[in-house]
Amino acid sequence: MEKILTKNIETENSHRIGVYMESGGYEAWKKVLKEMSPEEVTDIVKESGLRGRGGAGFPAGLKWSFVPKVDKPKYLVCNADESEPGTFKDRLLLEKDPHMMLEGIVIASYAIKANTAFVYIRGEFANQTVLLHEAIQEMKDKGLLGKNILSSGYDLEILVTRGAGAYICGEETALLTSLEGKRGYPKIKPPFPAVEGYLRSPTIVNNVETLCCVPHIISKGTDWFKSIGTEKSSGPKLYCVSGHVRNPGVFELPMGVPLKELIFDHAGGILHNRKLKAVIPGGSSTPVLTESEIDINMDFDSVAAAGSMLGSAGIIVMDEYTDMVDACYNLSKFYAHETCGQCTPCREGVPWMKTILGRITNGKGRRRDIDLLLDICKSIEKRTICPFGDAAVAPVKSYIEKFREEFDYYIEYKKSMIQENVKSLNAVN
Amino acid sequence: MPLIKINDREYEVKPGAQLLQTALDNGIEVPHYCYHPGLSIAGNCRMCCVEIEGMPGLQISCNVKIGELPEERKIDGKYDMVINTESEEVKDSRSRVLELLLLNHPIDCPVCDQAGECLLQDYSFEHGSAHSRFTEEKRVNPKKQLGPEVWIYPNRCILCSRCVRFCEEIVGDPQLMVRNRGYSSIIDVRDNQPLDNKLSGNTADICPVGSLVSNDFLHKTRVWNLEEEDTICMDCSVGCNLIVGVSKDKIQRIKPRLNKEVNDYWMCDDGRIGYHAADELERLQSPLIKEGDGFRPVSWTEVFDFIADKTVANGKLPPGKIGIIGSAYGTNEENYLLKKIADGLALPEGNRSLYPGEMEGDPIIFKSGFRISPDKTPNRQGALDMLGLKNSGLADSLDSKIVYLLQGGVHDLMTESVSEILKKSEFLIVQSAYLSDEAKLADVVLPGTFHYEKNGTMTNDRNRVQRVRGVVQTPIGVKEDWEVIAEFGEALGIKNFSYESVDDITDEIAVSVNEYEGITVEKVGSLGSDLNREKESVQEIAP
Repeated sequence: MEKILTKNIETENSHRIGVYMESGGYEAWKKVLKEMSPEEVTDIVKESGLRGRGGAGFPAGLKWSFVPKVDKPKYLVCNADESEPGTFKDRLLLEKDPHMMLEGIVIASYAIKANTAFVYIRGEFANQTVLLHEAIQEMKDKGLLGKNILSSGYDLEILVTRGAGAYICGEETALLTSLEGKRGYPKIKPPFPAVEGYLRSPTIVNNVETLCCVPHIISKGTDWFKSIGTEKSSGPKLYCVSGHVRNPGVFELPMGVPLKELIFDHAGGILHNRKLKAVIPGGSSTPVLTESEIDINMDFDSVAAAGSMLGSAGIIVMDEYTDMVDACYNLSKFYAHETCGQCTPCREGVPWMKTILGRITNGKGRRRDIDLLLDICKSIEKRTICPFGDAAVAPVKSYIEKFREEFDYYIEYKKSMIQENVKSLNAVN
Repeated sequence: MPLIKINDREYEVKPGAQLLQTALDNGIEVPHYCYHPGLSIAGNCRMCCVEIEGMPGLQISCNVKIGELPEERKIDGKYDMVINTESEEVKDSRSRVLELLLLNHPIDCPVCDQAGECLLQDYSFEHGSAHSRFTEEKRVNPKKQLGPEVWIYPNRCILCSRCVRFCEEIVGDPQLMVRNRGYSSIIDVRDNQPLDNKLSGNTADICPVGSLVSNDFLHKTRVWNLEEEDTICMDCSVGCNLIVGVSKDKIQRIKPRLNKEVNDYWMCDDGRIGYHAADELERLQSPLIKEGDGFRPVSWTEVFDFIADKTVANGKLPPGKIGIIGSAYGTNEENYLLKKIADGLALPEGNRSLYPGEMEGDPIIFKSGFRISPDKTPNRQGALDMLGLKNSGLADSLDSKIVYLLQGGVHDLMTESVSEILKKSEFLIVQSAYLSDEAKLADVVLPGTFHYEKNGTMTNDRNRVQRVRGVVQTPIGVKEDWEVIAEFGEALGIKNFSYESVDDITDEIAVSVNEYEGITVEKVGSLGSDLNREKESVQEIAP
C-alpha cells in the first residue's frame, strides 16, 4: 500500500514545515479556508467513514456533528496522551510528522468552529513536546495559525498541555478534567464532552492518528479514503507490533489487514522460530486471542467478532514460552497502579485481583481463587464511570478463560507450568 | 408531565426530575452513598444502580434525568420511563458494591461514633453478606484531626467525596482533597492547612460512614441513646434549623435540619458548638435581692412581693417612671409580654428599648449563599416587632427610676455606656441566667433561662417566624422566662397574664400584632412562616 500517514518519516527533517509543505502539506488547510464551510468539512469527514483511532472507533465526523449550536466557546482537543501498553503509533507521528497532526487539528477546529485547540501530550513525551512547540511556531510564522488566518477571518490558537503521568488521563473525560487543572478523574456521562466538555463548553476530543487522516480526506476525497480498508472501517491504519517478533515496529497498512500477515510478514514472525502462543490485538486492555483465534482481519468489526477489540491496534505477540499467569499478573499490576480510585469497584476490585494473582504466582494460590477472580471481574465490569474497569478486567477474564490450565497448575503445584516445560525442553535439547 | 413506573407503581413527575431523588421522595429506598441532594452528582459509589427498561446494564440512578418521550416511543404506550429498583440484578449489584466497600473497612463499629446511623451498617444488614472473601492484608492509615471540628478515620472511608465536594461547592474553599491515586486514595487537607472553615462540621454530618467524625461528639455517647429534638439555632440572626441530640438532659450534639428557605442542609460551627457557652456558666437557681455588697437568695413569692412593694407606691404605679428593656435574645413571646406590661402601664415610647444594641459587621457569605450574620442575637427582628420599636439599644433618655431588663443571652456584652444608663435607675431588675455584669448592678435578679431551654417563636433577620423548642429542662428553681415576665406583670397589677402555655401567647400574637396576623403555632410549624411583609433590602446572593 502507498504510505499515507507515514509517507514522510524516512525523509530527513520530516518534522520541519518545509519538508511537510514540499510534500503537499497544508494544501488541505488552504483549501478548507478558501472554499469550504465548517459544515462541508464535517460532512466530508462523516462521509469518509473515518473512525476514531484512539480505541473506541467512534465515527469522527458524527462526533463533530454533535457539537450543539450554542453561544459558548468550542474547543478541539487532540489526545496525544498515548499510554496504552503496546501502543506507540502516535509517538511516531508526533516525532516524525507533527505538522500532519497540526493540519488535522486546524481543519477539525474549523469544522467545529473552535477558536482554541489543545494538544494534551503525554508528559513522558518530552522531546516530542519540544518539536511540537517548534512546529506550532513554524505554522504561525507562515501565517497558517493565529489571527485572521490567510485573510479568511478565522482565528485559531493551539495550546500545548503536558500530562503528569497518569494513564487514566488518556480517557477523554479524565483528560478534560486534567486539562482544567483538576485531578484527572473521568466524568460521568451524560453530559458528553461534545455538549459539555472543557470548562463546560462543547469539546471534541480526537486521537492524533484520527486527526492525521483528516487533511488527506480533504485533499484526496472520500472515495479515495473509502477505497482503502474495509467497508465499515475505512482508511489507513498504523499497527504497532511488539513482543516476541523478529521485527517489531509501527506498520502502516489498510484497515482490515490480516493479523497473521502483520505478524508473520511485516513483523517477521516469531523470534527464535518459536511457536506463537497468544496475541493481544489492540493494547493491553483488549482480551487476548489464542493461536487458534488469530486468523482474523484487523478492523473494528472483525476483531470484535472474534471477541476482542481493535482498540489502539497495539499488537503484543507472545510466544510459547510465555507464562500467562505471570503475564496476567504483570498487566494487573499496571491496572492496579493506574486506577484513578474514583469508583468503588475499580478502586477496590482491581488491586484485589492483583493481590490474588500475586499470591498465585508466589505459590500461595488457593483453589477457590480462580472463581473468585472471575467473580471480582463481574463486580467491576460495566459498573464504573469510565471504561477503565472493563479494561482492567479484560486481561484477567480472557487469560483465565483461555489459559485456565496454567492457572490451575500454578495453584496445584505452586509453580509455573511454563517454566517446567521450558526446563524439560532444555533438557531434551 | 412524564409518567413513570417504579416497581409496578405509577408516578407522575416533573420534567427533568432526577430519578434517585424522585424515588426517595416517594418512599422508595434506593441505597446510595455519594449522592447528596445538596451537592453535585459524583456517581462514584455505584450503590444506587437501578434497572431501566431500554437502557443497557444497570444505571446509576443519581445521574438519570426523567424526560418526556414522544408518543410513539412511550413504553407500554404510556410510560416515559420504567424502572426496577429491586430486580435480582440490582440486588446483586448492591451486594457486590458492599463487599468491595468493606474489603478494607476495619469493621470497628463497637468504637465508631457513626454506629447506629451508619449507611454501611444499614445497607450491609439489608444487602450485604455476613462473611468476607477477602483474605489479604487490609489497607491501614492512621486517624488524624483535620481541623478543630473534624477527625478523619481513613480506614472507614469509602471515598464518596461528599466532604471534598462540600468544601468546593458550598464553602467555596477547597480545603479537602483526595490525596494519592487509586487504592492509596485518601481524604486529606490541602497543603497541610487545617480544615478550619466555619462550615467544617458539616463534613462530618454528611459523611455517610464513620470516617469524618465530629471532634465535639467524639466518643461522647452512642447515638441510640440520643433523643432528638427540633429547634432553631440562636447564635446569630439567621436562625438555622436544628436537630439537637440530647441524653441525660444534656445536649450531646447539634446537627442542621433541612430548611430550604433558611439554611438548606447546613449550619456553621459557631452554632454547632455554641451550646457550650452554658457549660461554665454558674446558673442562678433562685431570685436574688441585693443586700449590702452581695445578694440574698429569696423565694419567688418573696421576690415578687418585694418588687410590688418597691414599685407600686400607694397602690399606684408612677407612669413614665418605669423603663422596660426587652431582649434580642428573648423569644417573641417574652418580648410580647413585656410590651403588654409597657402598654398596661401606658409607658411612652422612650421608656421601651431593646438590649443589646445593633451589632456591626459584615455577614460571612459562602459560595452556596449560606451566610453567617454579624448580629449574634437570634431575634432582634421579632423583639423589635413585639416591642413596637424601630431601633435597638438603650435610649440615653432612659432615666426611669425603675428599670426592668431582660438579659436573654449568656454572652458578656455590657459596655460602659450601658453601665452608666443602668446605674442611673433607682431600682433595677435584671432577669438573667447567670450573675452577669448587668445583673451585678441590679437590686433584684430573677433567674432566667439559657436559650436551649426556651420555648416560643423567633423572627429571623429575613422576617421568617420560626419555632423554638426547649430541648433540655430548666435547672431546678428556674422558670421559663415568659412565666417570670407574666408574674412580673401581675406583680405590677396588670391583668390578663394567665396563659396555659407559651403556645397561647404565640396564638395571641397572631391576632394582635399587625404583621404577625395568622402566624399561629400551627402555621409556624416545624419549618417556620414568613411574615406578611415585603422583603426589604435583602441582599441577594448569587450561587
